[in-house]
Amino acid sequence: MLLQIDGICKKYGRKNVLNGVHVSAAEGECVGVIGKNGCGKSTLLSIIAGVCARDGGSVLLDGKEPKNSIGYVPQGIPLIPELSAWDNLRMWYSRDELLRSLECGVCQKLGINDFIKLPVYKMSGGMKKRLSICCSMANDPQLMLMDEATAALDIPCKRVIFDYLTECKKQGKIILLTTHSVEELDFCDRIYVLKDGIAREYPYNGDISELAEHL
Amino acid sequence: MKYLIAQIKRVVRYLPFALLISVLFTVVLGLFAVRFVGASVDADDKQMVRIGIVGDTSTTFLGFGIELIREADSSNMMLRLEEMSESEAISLLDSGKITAYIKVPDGFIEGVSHGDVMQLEYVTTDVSGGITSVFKEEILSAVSNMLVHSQKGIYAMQQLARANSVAYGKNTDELVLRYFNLILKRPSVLSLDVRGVSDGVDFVTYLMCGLFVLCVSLFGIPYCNLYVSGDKSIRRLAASRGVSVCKQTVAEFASYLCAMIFTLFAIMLIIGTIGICDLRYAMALFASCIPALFVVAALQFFGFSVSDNLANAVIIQFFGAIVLSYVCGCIYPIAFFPKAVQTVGGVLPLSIARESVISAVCGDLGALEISAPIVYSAILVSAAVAVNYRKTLSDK
Repeated sequence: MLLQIDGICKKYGRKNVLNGVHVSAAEGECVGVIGKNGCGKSTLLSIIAGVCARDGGSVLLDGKEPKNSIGYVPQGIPLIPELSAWDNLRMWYSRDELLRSLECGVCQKLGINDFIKLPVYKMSGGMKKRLSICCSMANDPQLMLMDEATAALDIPCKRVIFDYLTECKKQGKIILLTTHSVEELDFCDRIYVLKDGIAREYPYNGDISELAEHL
Repeated sequence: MKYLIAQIKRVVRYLPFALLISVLFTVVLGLFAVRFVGASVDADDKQMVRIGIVGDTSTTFLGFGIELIREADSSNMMLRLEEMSESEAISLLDSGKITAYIKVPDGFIEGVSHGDVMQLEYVTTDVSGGITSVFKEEILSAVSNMLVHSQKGIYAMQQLARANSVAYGKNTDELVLRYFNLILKRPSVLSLDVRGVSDGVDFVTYLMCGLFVLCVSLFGIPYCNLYVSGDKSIRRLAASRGVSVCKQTVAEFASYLCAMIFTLFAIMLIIGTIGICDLRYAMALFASCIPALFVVAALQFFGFSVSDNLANAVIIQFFGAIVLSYVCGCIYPIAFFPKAVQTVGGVLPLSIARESVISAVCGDLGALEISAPIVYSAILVSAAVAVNYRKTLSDK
């Protein structure tokens, strides 16, 4: 399986946010996209997820449009605060699917059972993020798009999420994530730097200061 | 569908709090309405001009004349003639309870009949002008005309009697006056229908309908916390899962509309149960006000869409409700505004809502009064979709 993103362009008003972005990712690979604030990372993920239209280019997963194969975790907390974890999950899972997931799927792996009945507004940041990931992965997608997935989380929570992502990689899923986090960079197999609307692959060797000069 | 169910679940959990705030708004506005309407009715009463009639009004002639003057006040709202003794008249005049009194000297009618120059005395405390001065002139003119023309009529009848050798005396005079009375009391061949400034309903009903719309417009405030959020991530997630921004917005509006319908139902139930009005009437009124509720809810929902944060949302809801209610004639009859304001205000959503409510109260809710609010709601919800779409896709 191969993800091929070719020539993605996006304009907001007069501003060219993306000027022909080329990114590729193979089966079982985790690819990171890094760049300054406002450079278009979230826009790129939104376009791949089908949330907003692109002005040009193509997104192909195994040569086809990835319509129902995407799990998108947007930046922020994509949950309804007044509802419980169960009710939030029920928006995206059928009852049987959810019970299965709680038993042995993504919900079980991310520990959602511990707070399944808790309303979102009472949850910690880590709980909310784990729940967000569960909501986004309801359809067991082949392509996972994560926009700053572990931002502002504590180490144990990050560990749980990274363990889950490692397992996803072993299952052959493709992970594309945007990040400002060193741990996430270390987790990635390859890095792209997004600058002036163009993505360039960067051979990251762990040296943050060198990477910073390229941003 | 799942998204809609989630929105409804969310609203159900929030409903008790929102309902409590809405009831508080209703109580406050209700008290204001009672006080305001009461003051208006009192003011109307105070505008009534009361004039005393002092003297012997037992003669048919004078009694007929007083009735003629009463009939001259076609609205029967501004002028009231009351027979009383002189001491009573002086006392009432001093206390301001009557504007003036007319003193009929003894033997006035007989004297006038015999050609004596006698005068009616008009006693008032108002010398500076104003409406009572106008009425003074009107009354005096009416009295003079009444005397002169009825005397002419009597003389004519006397001449006719003499010409036909018919006996004519005092009793015959009385018969003639009764005849004049009958003629002058005959219903007019034209019926006058005065359409007031209140869309065909009385002022109190108009005001109550307008305040009802204002009250419902304020019900959006407690829901700001629920429907206004700066976080677009849930919208993005839903869009990536095939629930477009349009579907999301419509689902949210549907849940909000359900909440508003329930809120109004609960309040009308309370009003009917505690006896402010009959329960069956309250429920019937609730049902017929649903079209109006559509457009008010849609307007509030559009307000939620354009707001970015809670403070902003509350301000928009509150001031939007007050200002629009005023311009749309919900607080003061729209007919009193300049033509330009009437034209603009007449097409705004709360005007449509007000007219629908008035039709509901009058029991003539037609197809137009039902469909116009719903069509307007669709336009507002479409605008909300456009705003939400833009917000969801923005890079900020």
